[in-house]
Amino acid sequence: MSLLAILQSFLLIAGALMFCIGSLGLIRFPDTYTRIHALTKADNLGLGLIVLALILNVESVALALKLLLIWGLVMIASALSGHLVAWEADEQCIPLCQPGETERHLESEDE
Amino acid sequence: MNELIDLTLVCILLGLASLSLFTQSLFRAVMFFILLGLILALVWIRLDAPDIALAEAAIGAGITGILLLDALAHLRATSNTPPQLRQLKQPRFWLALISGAGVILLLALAISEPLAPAVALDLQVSENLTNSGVTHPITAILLNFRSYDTLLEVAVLVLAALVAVTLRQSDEHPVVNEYLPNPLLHACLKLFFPMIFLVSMYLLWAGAAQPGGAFQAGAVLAAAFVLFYLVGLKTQLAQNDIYLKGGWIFGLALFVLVGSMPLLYGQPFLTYPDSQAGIFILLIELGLTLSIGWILFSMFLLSQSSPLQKKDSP
Repeated sequence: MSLLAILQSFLLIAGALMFCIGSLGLIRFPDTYTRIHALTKADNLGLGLIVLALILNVESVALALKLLLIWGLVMIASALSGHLVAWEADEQCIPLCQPGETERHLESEDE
Repeated sequence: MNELIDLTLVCILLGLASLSLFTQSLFRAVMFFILLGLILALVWIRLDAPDIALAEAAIGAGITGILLLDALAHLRATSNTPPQLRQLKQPRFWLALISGAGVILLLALAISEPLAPAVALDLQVSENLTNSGVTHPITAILLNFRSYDTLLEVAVLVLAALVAVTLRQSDEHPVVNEYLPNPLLHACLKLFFPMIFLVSMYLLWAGAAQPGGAFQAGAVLAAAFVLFYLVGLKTQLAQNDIYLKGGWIFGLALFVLVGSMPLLYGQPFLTYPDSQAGIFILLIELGLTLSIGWILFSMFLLSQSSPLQKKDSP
């Protein structure tokens, strides 16, 4: 196994792990705001790691730039959608979950 | 390894399909349906059909999702009680059961029938591809060999838009939608609009040699129009009935016009001269892209009763 393959596997596994952590956050965090935090941040890093792993063995510079462009666009889009969800949740006065408070089922998803 | 991926995809697909059918909350059902569209796009890629995957992702998951969410808002507005699953009345239930069973039986018969194509169609397509004006076989079939089908498909889309107008006029409970006065959305969309239009035109251009084409490009264009509308930018064109309906039939009219030009030279309808076929196809596809984008956007637009109201801050 070459050094390149080891590095790639490391990056891919790390990326997949970040996606898992993000999804775990989505399930486990108590309110809308913290859930967005988990998704938009962890997933962007996960995608970045996977893009880096893929860039390591592309032949052309153009392809590498395309992959980077995808990463950049997804980052802008996810930041924007995260902001919009948080903004709308704030408009609808969905309360923040206070520290120490137990999990509760917020009805945010049906709005 | 590949079988494992396929098996996982099939399981997810079946799971999402049953979830979207049997979930009590309509909102969740719509969400599952959108997810189903995205997974289905992946399945098409696994089946080596990137053209359909593109169309599925753009139309099946994107535009249909928007329309369904919009329909949901209408349902909420028309009835105060949350929409619930309704029990079908006795005769209807049996009718549905019998026709469902009949379709399954026919499909089973069709599958058990051994497939014996009288002619090797794929060979015929690859033999005639050089004369079609494009190098991508899917586009050659859609717009040259079987352009009649595509022509009728577009006619069906125009018809659907006309039905949408009629339904809107008879709507007794109009919904007033709100646009999103969000500064960040506004700023980001200014950045994204040129890119979305570029992608749409690229899809159209790439259709001659790679997966892509009018339907995919039109769907991307429609998404841009919808975003345009959601941030509250005025669309004077859409207020004018002539422009609205003219946009719908523009692509179809161009198609018929270009298709009937060979009639002048005593050739059959929709046969392009080999030397100019590429230009003809590009012209038709450009018209179709604009019209499909406009029609899909109009379906979204027509469900709005009046120009969007500015959202009141609480």
